[in-house]
Amino acid sequence: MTRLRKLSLLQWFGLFAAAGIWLAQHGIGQGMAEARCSAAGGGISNDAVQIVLMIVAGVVILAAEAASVVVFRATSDASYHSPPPVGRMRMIAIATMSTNLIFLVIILLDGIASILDVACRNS
Amino acid sequence: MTDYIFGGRREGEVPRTHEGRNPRDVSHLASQRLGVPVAWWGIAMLVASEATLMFTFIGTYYYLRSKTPVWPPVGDPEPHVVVPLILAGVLATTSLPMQLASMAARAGRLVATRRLIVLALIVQCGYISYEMWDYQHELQTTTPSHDAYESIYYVLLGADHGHVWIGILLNVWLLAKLGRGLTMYRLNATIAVTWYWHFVNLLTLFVIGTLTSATLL
Repeated sequence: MTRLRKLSLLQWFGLFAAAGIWLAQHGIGQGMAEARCSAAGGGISNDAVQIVLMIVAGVVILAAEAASVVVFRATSDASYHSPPPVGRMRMIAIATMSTNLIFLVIILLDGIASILDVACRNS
Repeated sequence: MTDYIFGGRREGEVPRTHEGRNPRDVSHLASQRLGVPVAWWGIAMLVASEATLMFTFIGTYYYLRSKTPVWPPVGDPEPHVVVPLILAGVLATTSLPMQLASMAARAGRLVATRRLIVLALIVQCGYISYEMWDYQHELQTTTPSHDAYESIYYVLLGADHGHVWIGILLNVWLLAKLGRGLTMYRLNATIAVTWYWHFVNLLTLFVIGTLTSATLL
């Protein structure tokens, strides 16, 4: 695999990983909370599930951030005006270095709110 | 690392965004492109984030609906169906002139590009004018604070109208830029705005379909 292709894969990972893992955390978290609050869900610890989801999601996002930084540094001799794929990689790396941090905050808020709130009560 | 790029060509052999400052050069250089411009990726990321926002609203609508036995709740008016669906369809047709404008810009046909954008803009302005009147008319009978149904109804519809407004402002800005000629930057802008309108038109169909489902289903 060429270095350019490896960088391209890192760039795509940096772009999609955060959104994908937040989708998984939110979806699985809501599903587990609904199951916990069902008649047969007494054995599920909602807090434990939310903590695990938050940690896994946080690790993935930190990896995505690292991938974005690697691509940004590797394309330091280019600009987003450069021809494809280098221009595209640099532009997306610049954008995802910010958005991955935003997603990290979203995941922490999602997990902490789920833990601090009472799972099974009427809204 | 940047010496050879995709397709085995050297960086100096590939057209740059700042080259091409008249329609003929733009047309020639656009035909030499290896892939979509960076502006396309930029608008793709914008569309992805806006789609996330809007689909969380749509998800909220269906979540509330799934928890409510009667929908809309008793006392809330059922949404109109025929006029909103027809208007959403009319708005969706503006994707055609916008796409044709994008293709005309690639071919260096500046006058055709401007005319097609103006055509799309007239229809889009007509749509948003009626919708603004209808929105404020509905606010005189019910308010977003009335209940969860009205809240999500006005949020979903208002957010969609907001996206239409942004698209209209982008079209006006684009026409102002194209009024001074065609460059590679303005070609990229035309491509980006066209894709934004494809997204807004599809989004409007989803939103109106969601809201009218309360009456239809």
